[in-house]
Amino acid sequence: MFYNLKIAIRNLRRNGLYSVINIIGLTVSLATCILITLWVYDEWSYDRFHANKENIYLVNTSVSNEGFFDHTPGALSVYGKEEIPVIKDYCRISWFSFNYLRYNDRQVLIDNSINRGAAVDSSFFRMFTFPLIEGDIQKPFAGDNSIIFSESMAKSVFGDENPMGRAVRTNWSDEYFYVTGIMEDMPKNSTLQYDYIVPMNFMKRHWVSYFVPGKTLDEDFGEFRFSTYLELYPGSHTDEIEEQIVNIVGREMAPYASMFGPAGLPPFNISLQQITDQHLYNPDGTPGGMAKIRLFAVIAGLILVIACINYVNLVTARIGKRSKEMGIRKFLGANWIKIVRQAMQETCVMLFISIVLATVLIYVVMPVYNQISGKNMEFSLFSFHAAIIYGVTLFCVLVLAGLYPSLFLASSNSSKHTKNKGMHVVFRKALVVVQFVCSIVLIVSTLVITLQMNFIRKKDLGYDKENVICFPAWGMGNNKEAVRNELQKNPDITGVATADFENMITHNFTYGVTWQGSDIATRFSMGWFDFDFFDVMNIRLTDGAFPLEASADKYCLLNETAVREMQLQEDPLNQIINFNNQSYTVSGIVRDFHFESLSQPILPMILICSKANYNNFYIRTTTQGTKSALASIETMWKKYCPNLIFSYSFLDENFERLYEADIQMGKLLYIFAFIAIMISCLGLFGLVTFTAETKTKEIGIRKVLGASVGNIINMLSKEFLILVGIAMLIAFPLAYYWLNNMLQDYAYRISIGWWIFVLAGLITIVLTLLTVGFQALKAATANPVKSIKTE
Amino acid sequence: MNTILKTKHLTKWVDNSSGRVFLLRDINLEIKQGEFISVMGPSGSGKSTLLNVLGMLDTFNEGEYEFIGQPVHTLKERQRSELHKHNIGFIFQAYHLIDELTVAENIEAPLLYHGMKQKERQAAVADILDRFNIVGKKDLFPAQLSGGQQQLVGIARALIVKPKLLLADEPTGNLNSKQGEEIMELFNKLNEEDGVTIIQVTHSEKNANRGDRIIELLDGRIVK
Repeated sequence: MFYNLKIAIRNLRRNGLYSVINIIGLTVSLATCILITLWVYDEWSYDRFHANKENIYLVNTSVSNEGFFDHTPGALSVYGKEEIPVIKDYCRISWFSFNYLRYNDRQVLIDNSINRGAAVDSSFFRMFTFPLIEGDIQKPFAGDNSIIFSESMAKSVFGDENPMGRAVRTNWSDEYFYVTGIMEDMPKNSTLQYDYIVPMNFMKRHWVSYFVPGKTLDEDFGEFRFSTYLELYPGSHTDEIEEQIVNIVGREMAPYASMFGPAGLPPFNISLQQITDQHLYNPDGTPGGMAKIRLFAVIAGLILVIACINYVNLVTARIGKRSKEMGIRKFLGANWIKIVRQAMQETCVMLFISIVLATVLIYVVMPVYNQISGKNMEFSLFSFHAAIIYGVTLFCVLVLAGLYPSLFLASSNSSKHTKNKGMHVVFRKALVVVQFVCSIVLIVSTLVITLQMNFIRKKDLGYDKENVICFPAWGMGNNKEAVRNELQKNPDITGVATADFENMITHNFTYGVTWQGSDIATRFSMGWFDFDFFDVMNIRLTDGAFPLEASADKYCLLNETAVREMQLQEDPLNQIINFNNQSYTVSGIVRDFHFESLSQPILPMILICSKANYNNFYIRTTTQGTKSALASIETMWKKYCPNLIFSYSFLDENFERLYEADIQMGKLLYIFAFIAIMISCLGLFGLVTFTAETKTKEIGIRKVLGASVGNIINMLSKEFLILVGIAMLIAFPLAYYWLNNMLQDYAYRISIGWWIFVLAGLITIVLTLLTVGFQALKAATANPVKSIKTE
Repeated sequence: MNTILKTKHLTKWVDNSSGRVFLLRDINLEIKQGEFISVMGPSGSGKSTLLNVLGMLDTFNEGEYEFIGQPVHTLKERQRSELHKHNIGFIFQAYHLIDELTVAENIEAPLLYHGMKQKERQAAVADILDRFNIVGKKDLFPAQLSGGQQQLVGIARALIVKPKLLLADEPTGNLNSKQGEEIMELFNKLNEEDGVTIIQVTHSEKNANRGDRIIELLDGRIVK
């Protein structure tokens, strides 16, 4: 054992360059694999900490066959539980927010983008595994005005005092709320993230039904405001439940069918999604996060495979040099088991060194990695997960990279060796082709994904998103004119407008629009704006005109998509459309602009202009004037909303944030692709060094025969370039197929042009030539007299 | 007769820890076209070095070297390489055939670097295989041939570019006496019938005497 170890270490040292190449390759790929696995595990672990996870389902709904989303009306679960026996319990969750809390004399302003609030049913803590530090899981709320804080938020409001039973005053009609529980901070890998929770009963008390006046929250089928989770008895069939719920909704909605025009009720569908799928799959069941997980898992696998191939190739390539040693050992009586054991020991020593280095590397890059990936992952060498990851990786490397070369070594003897050489050379070449295929696919993917990201970022949105500051109106809403006049005194502010849109995004929509010839309930997004909005945002009319201020309540505008989808026979201008029990005349057509994520196509939209006060301000500034504009806004804010945290955002940054996850993924992909390609090049470098070494004499002879330096480089590179060519033939269709599939997720996407493949091909060839060239040049310029003497 | 090469004060040295070691010292040579020269001398006297320098495989430090009227010492690497590949054929003691190539491919190899078309190459190879009576061996690999046969292939390879000068570094050193005799017969034939200039390095007095004259080297100098 010790003897073998000694020999193993000596061998590693003797083959310095190859050992270094192998160790660097293995280290980097091990570290990368583990980092990727951490990421994959983190994504996969979402919502899996719920003890009840097997039986908790999220209800997704779809109206008019327009795709599922995770919102339901409040009555759905109440009726469902009543009538469907396999539903054990339900929990509805609605966003709910306070802007400030007052405790004694202290006022705490709440930034709702950081500390989020919700109204939930009292089953919340029973159904989900969010442990309470104080309070009763079965009966968490004592009355309608109860509140439960997360541990960290309780600390920021109450300091070191015991919060239980304390009263806080809120901006909800100055009502008091009493603390009846403290919950642990929700884990990072939870889709539900709340810092304060109030009972649904409070919301119930304040509920006003817009759909059918007089209905309570528990009876209202109109407003899709709630995330609904159902707890089912084990072994329930979700498809039956889905059907039953659809029937209930159909039955309850039947009396109001006429509100949807002559077409009647739009088709309604339900899909139950297990809570553990919520993070990984879209509401319609298509893989969202899961696609990313698969992508990254594949990349981790590829990187590992590439490093293993390097190992196998370098070890088998050098077999000629070792076969003599093995032959002598066999002659001295070693059987093949002993020889395999020795070879494996060499692999193990190398792996051990790589693992130590990889662990160091992981700790070093972890902070950067967390920053890039926007996660808070931790790596602990002695954790169960790390052990599993190392174990699996070790096993793969040992089997893939250790056993094959070992058996190869053991079976080779000098006479057999020459005969088998051809086969093994072919095998080695096949492995190099596999490496190149991986690299090329990664290069093409990186190119395409980068292009797609840029395409989205640079896409004409239909409005000008640069130099626009958005902020909620709050108290300024009722003093719009005064605020506007004050702001416009600042020369850096070039426009002031308000709209009900928040950050140019609206979730407001209706199916209840009818017009002459309308036959099917169509989803229309709704937007309300003041008259300055279009000017401030640079949104143009393609036809017609804005209504006059005096008669604005009789008119509306349509976007181009709406005109298309309504299939109007005549000129859309001056057509009458009806919704909300009112009639509007179309006064103009607005050029299409985006008001949802670019993964969604532009939907039909009705736009209404009026002098009314809307909830969101849009301020356009000069390019240099952002700072002074913000100062003016803050002055206004302090005057009209002294009890609120000053919050504003830049429209272009909001837009970037929408694609943050995609951009982060793009960056990670960049890095991983780069690493994979580097490791391939490293292996290639080892191989070409070896080839040049074994061909020293041949190169010398050829030079004597008149070969120029160019001839020699050509000879050495050609071999690898042919392999690159074969790899391209395999990689291009593969890359095209899967990237084309991936791009289907985007409503606005680039087409994969032939030039992307040409570019990827060129990159690969240049990389190959750079890698091969150095060694080839060295070999080609060597003095032939010396080369020939090498014998 | 025309002069094929001429050297004046040709000197080559290497510097090592114990000082400057002269490999060639003040070599003055003039060789006419069609001559058959034998170079003799003890091991380390600079025979092979002289051959390599004359064949432009190696450089020298001082002196002048003129090859078919061209001043080699002033030529650039590329020009030297052109001059060498069109005019000089090499034969080695250890044959130096390429193991991975067949006999025919080995013989063809130099032509690849002359930019010759495939058809012409094949014709030239067929020609020389025929002339050397080794057509039957053309698809064999060097390892399947005897030493004499390998050297025959080596000579065929050297001659295929129709060189003006043939440089042979102990061509019979690895061969038995009968094979050696045959190779030397061939040299005489080439020299007399085809007018090829030959410079051979040899240890054998008998082989040396087959040439027109003998140059004797000792410690890098011509002594006779």
